[in-house]
Parts: sequence; structure tokens; C-alpha cells
Amino acid sequence: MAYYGPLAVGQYLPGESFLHRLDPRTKILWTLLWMGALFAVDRAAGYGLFLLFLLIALVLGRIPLDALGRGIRPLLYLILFTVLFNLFATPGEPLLRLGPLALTRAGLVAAGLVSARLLLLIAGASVLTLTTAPLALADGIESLLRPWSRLGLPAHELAMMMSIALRFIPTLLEETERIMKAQKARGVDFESGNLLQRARSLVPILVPLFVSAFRRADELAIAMEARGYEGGKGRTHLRELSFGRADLLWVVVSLVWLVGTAIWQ
Amino acid sequence: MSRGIILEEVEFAYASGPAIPPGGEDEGRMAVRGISGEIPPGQFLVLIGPNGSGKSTLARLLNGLLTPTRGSVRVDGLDTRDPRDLREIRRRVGMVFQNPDNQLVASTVEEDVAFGPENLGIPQPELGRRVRSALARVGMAGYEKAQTHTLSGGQKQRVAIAGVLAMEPEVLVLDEPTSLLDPVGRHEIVNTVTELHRSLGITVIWITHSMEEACRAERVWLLGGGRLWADGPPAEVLSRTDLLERWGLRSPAAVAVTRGLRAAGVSLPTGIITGDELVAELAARFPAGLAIRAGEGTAGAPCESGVATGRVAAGEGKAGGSGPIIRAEHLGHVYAEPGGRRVVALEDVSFTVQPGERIAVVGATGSGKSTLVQHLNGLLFPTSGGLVVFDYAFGELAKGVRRPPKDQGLRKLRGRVGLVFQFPEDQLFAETVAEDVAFGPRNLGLDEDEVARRVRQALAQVGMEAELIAGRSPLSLSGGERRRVALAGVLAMEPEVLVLDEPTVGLDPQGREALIGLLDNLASDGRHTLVAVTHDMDLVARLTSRVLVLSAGRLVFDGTPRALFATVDQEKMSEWGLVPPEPVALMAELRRRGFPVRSDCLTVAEATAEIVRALEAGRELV
Repeated sequence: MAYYGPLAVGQYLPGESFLHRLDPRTKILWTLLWMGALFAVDRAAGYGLFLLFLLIALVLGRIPLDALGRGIRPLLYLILFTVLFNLFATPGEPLLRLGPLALTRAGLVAAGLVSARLLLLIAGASVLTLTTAPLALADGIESLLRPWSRLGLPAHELAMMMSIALRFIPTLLEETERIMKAQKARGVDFESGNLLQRARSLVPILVPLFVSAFRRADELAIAMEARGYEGGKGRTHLRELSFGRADLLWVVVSLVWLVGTAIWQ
Repeated sequence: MSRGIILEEVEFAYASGPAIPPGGEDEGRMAVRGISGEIPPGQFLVLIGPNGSGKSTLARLLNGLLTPTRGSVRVDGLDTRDPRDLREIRRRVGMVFQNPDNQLVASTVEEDVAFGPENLGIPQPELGRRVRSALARVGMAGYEKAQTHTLSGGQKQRVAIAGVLAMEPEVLVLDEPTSLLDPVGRHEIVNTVTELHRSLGITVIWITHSMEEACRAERVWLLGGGRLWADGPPAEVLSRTDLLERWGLRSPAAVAVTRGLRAAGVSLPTGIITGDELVAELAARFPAGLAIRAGEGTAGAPCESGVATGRVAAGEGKAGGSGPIIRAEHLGHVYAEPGGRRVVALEDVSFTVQPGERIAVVGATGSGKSTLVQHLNGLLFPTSGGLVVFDYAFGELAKGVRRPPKDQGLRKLRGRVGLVFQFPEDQLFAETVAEDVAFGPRNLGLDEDEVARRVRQALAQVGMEAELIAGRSPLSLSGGERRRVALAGVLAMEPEVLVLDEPTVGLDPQGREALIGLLDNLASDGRHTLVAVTHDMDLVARLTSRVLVLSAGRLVFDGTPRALFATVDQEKMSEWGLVPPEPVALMAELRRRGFPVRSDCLTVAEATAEIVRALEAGRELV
């Protein structure tokens, strides 16, 4: 019961690096900037500059390459599909024919660029989630959204929902595993049968999971109330966000580098 | 302003649906029916009572989570019905709940402990100081950045307590804080709270089913049916065996032994509730008993009585059953975690099981118990060594087979080896009890007539009337009933081996007794082999005839419960994470004090008889 499967969301790597110590708002804005600029770039040279910046970020965040790989792995099929699609569906001078499909030089280039873009996109998001604790992330989002709360946007509630969801993901994963095993022990076959049969075999897992999630939600709500929770008003924060010199430096460097790359290429 | 908590004629009824009939409460939903009392500051009060007695409701009335439908609750003079005082009342009266997973709000320890004071608007740096000091008080300093989901049950509960302490409360209410924990976790929580009470003078209101915990209180309230039946020091309340039994509670073992001794003519005072008190009394009254050195006086017959121990001899259980039904040879299991870390859960475990045996698998949390039993029906496969269960061979014993079989090929085995998981009630999913129980048999591909027969039979086996209950929704049943329905769902597959993972955890004493009785019946018919994974040593002593002890994935003991408790010393037992049953601990303490009693007495009856024998033998010698 103490063993967990891969936790795709909780991929935060605890640490004290330069990137770890940045204000979460800085990193969220950096990621948005990274993604935006990335979509403006469509040349190899531009991607090269992004890659260089990524490497600097990895060093500054002390992020090992395999941690980055773990974030990319779940999306491998998507990338593969996009690459194949681009390889064969781009019109141009055929290099190789496979039946009705033609591999073109233009396709090769497009596939390379699109996979570079996707990989850089995921890597940029991973830099954020690997160096920012989920709760800090929630705090950052809350703080960035706060100006809009006057317009009715429930910034505190959204952040609280997010942090509670993050807190319960490992618990629910563990529970899913337990219920799956319990139903297997009662003779459920999750491994064979057609699509409909497989879908039906999920009912004995999903129903107990929902029932238990509702019970947990109920108990948690009572526990939160008992600890004096009455919404976001008047709450203080253990981690006060502070935008410091390092943040300013990082923002300026990123702006120059990323926006510069997008305009230059 | 009067300090402490004052309850005046408190009644509480849960609203049934949106509307309560005007002019009266729904009788069936009355949870608290007129409780009055005063809890002065600094008291250690324990609430006992069966499920449904109103304990949890009362706890929630104390900090305004619920407000009385009649009467009043005042905390230091503040009325819980006044919404303006609620925040202050909740600061003063902190609550810790039963399930550690469902009360931690944050992903890291320090953020969780900070949650309460954050709600109170405590600014930095006071906030950080409170978090650090609260964690230090519960012995969790250094865990500030730890992820809450990676902690043990006992650690999670200590974080929950720290979360309350950080609000600097005057009263700490704990609603069954230990009932879902293993013995190590229980110990941690009991010690932590006792220490807080001693050093901070905080009021403690502790709800429990455990009599050992109740013995530590200054005052005990016995609740039943929403009323207060007894109020007094533990020595008084816990000695009232008749009243306890009326509410389905068992008196502490020391009380039962004392009663037996008094009935046998041994003169002892009333009010003895702990083993230590009993030993002290006996030592004071029978110094002659001490004259004989331990070991010389052990000539008496071995402790024996009608307990299950040894009742079904190996191999007798099943007609035509010859040879073992389970054979593990150097069985090992290694979990591969993401990131390449390997966790050795089982290592070099060898044993055989004959049909009809009653086996307990015990050991500390994380010792590999659950991993081991999940091999028995092919949910897990050996990563080294091998295993044969009936005619299914796995690992190195499966010659010529490379790949482990799939679910489909394992169905028959899973029908023959029924595995009841921890909290099996959580796996119920169908709309009616009958449908749920029928799920297993249908998966085995049986025809509908046979399925219907098995549903009726299985419900009868767990002591439920099929006619009354088959059409009800599992969600409408009580926790104990749901657990029995889940057990029926496995029994309906007519397994020859019944494996249970922590069958009694989280049940109240009544539900626990019912379950143990039911398992005893099942095993007594000789058609079932029983394998129970448990921390409940009383269950081990009463239900099983053989114990497998796992420690860090290795099999370190294989023998009878009697041999385990009589021959293994205390140090080894704690190293293995085991706490002997009360009678065993009592006898061990008597021996340590020089009384010539045998150490292998497992039950209250055995212990009583043995003390009487030793005293008589001592008298003859004097």
C-alpha cells in the first residue's frame, strides 16, 4: 500500500536552486511567455536559442534530464502521431513511397520543427512544475488572478480547489489501485474482451471511487470548518509571495531572450 | 465568565431531508438525547460507547460544528449558537478526526499545520513560529517540507494534532484518532496526547473504543443511545461490567481477570482496571507467591481451554485433502518504483499451508504482509522464488511458463482463493445488496439459479437475512453491515481459502465481536482455510492456530500463537511491531515480579485459571 505508481502531476522536485527560490508568479509568467514566444518561432535557429535557454534553466533549477523525460513520456504518443502526420501529409517532392503514402523533404522538415516545438513546449511547462511546489503554484495563480476577483472571479476558491485536488491525487490513486485489486479478486477481467466489455468492467471501480471521494470531500469540509476556515477573507499565508531582485533579473533576461528570438528569426 | 465547557440538557437531531416536521424531532434521527455536564479546564475525559451512541455528534456539538436542537453548549461562557463567537470557539476547541487522510488539507506538512492559524489571520513571523513549535510538540520537527501523503498513519495524525495546536486551543477533542492506525501509530498518538495534557495542561476529550486508552483518562463518560449512562473515574466506570456489556463493550482484561479471581475466592479490592494495578495488588497481598522463583513453579498443566488454538489439526480439515494446498519456496517480491528505485517487499519466504488451517499473518506496517497474501490469488507474481496454490504454479515453480497468466486464466483460482481486502465495504458498487453479492459468482460464469442460491447462502453465512436485506442499497447500511455484505460477496464465490486483510480494523467492539464469531464459524466447518492479515493480537489469539510473522519482508516466525507469545521476548516483539494481547502482557508482568505463572496464557479465562492455580500452589508450599 505504500507503493505508488507514476505520479504525473506531483512531479515537483524539492530543492533550493535559483529557480526553486523564484516567486511562483515569476515562473508562471515565464512559462506563459515561453509558450507564447515559442509559437512565434518556426525556424531551426530559433529553436536552437530556445534549447540553449532551456539548458540554462535546467542548470539553474538543477533539473536532471531524466526528470524532464518523465514529464515528456506520457505525451510521447501524441508527439509520435504528430511527427508521422507531418512526415507523410506534407505535400512536396517525394523521397520515399510507401504505397499511397509519400515521404517528402518538406515533410521531414515540418516533422522536425513540429516535434521540436512540442518538446520545447512540454519542457517549458515542466521547468515550472518541477521547480514549483504545487501549493506555491496555487498561491501564485491565486495572486495573479486576484485583480480579477473584483469582477467576480473566485480567485481564492480556485486556488483552494487546486491545492486540495493536488493533495488528494496520491490518495485517490492509491485507492483506485486497491479497489481494482479487490474487484479483480472477485473475478473481474480488466485485460480481455471488446471495448464495451472493458468499459463495463470500469463500473465496479468508478462507482466505489466516486462514493469514497464524496465521503472524503464531506469529511474534509467538516475538518476545514473545524479549523476555522470561512473562505479567503482575512486569511494570512505561511508563504508570503515576494517579488525580489532575482525575479526581476529572470524576467528581464527572459523577456530579452525569448521575445528577441521571436522577433529576430 | 465560567471557564471550561458546560452542557445543559443538550439534544441533537439530524434533519431528515430538507424539512423537519414542525413541533417535533424525527425520533429515529435523535443522536443526543439530553446530556448535561461540566468539563473543567485541564481535564482528561474519555468518551466510550458503541457506534450510534452519539459520541461523534457530541464531539461536534462542542465546537459548534453542530448546534444543539435543544439545550445549550457553552465554551468558556461562549454559546455555540451565537454565530459571532464561532470562530473563537473553534480556536479554543480544536478537533482531530478519525481518518488521517481526510483531514489533512495541504500537500506539505508545514502548509497543513499553518492552515488553522492562517484562517485566524495570524501574520508572519508569528505564524511560522507557531508551526515550528506545534510540530516540535508532536515530535515532527524536521518534517516541515515532507509530503503529507508519504507519512505513516501515526505521523499523519500527529500532523493533524499539530495543526490544531498551532491555533493555541484550550481543548483538544479527538474523535477515535487511533482506530485506523497500527499498534505503532496508536502508541505514538496516545503518548503524544498524554504528554500534551501533562505539559500544556490542555483539556483532552478523547473518543475511543479502546479500553487501554480509556484507562489513561481522569474521567470516563459512557454513552449509549444518545444518553450519558456513567460518569466517573475510569476505575469506577470501567469496572461496571454489566453496564459495559449492555452497550456491547468489553471491560479491560484486567477487570475481567480480577472479577474471575474474586469469584474464585481471591480477596482483591474493586476498581482495578489495568494490568499493572492488578500485579501490584497481587504482589502486595501474596508475598508468598514471590518466594518461589519463576521457572520452578511452572509444573502445572499447560494453559488450555476452549479457544480455537489447535482445534483443527493440520490436514484434517478437508475430506480427500492430502498434501499442502499452498507452497511457497524462497518467494520474493520487489516493487520497481518510478525513477528506478527498487523496494524489496518480500525476501526468501518459504512455507506450506494444509487445508483447514487457520493462519494469522502479522508484522509491522510495511513488513510485506499484504504483498504476501496478494500472491495467493495471482494479484501479484513472485519476482524471485516460486509459489504453488492448488494446481496453479507461479515464478520459478511454473516450469516452462515465461509470462504470468492474465486475469481470465486466473478467474478459477480467484474463485478458490477468496481475498477480502482492507475496508472491503469501500468496494461495494451495485444498486442492491443482492446484486453486489452476485457480482463474484456471475464473473465465474455461473447460471442465474446457482448465483441466486449462492447469494442467499453467503448472506446467511454472514448472519444476514436475505429477504430483509437483499433489495436494499449497500449505501443505506451501517459500516459493520457493509463490511459483512462485502465479505458475503467473496464467500458467494465459495472459496476454499479465505484470505482477509485487516478484517477488524475500524469496527466498534460489537461489530468486531460479530465478525470474529462469524469467521470462527466459517473456519469450524472444516471447508475453509483461513488466512488473516492483522494487527489485532486478540484476534490472533482467539481465532488462529498458526502465526506467520513477517519482518522487513522476511518470514521470522512460523508457529502457534501460544508459542509466539510464550517464547518470544518483549524486545523481539516490539522489533517486529507486535503488541501481545492483554492477558499475555499481564502474565509476563507477573512472572517478571516473581510469580510462578506460565507465560503462555492467551485469554482472560486461561490467565484467571493460571493465577488461581499458582496462588494455590504457593499456599501449599508456605
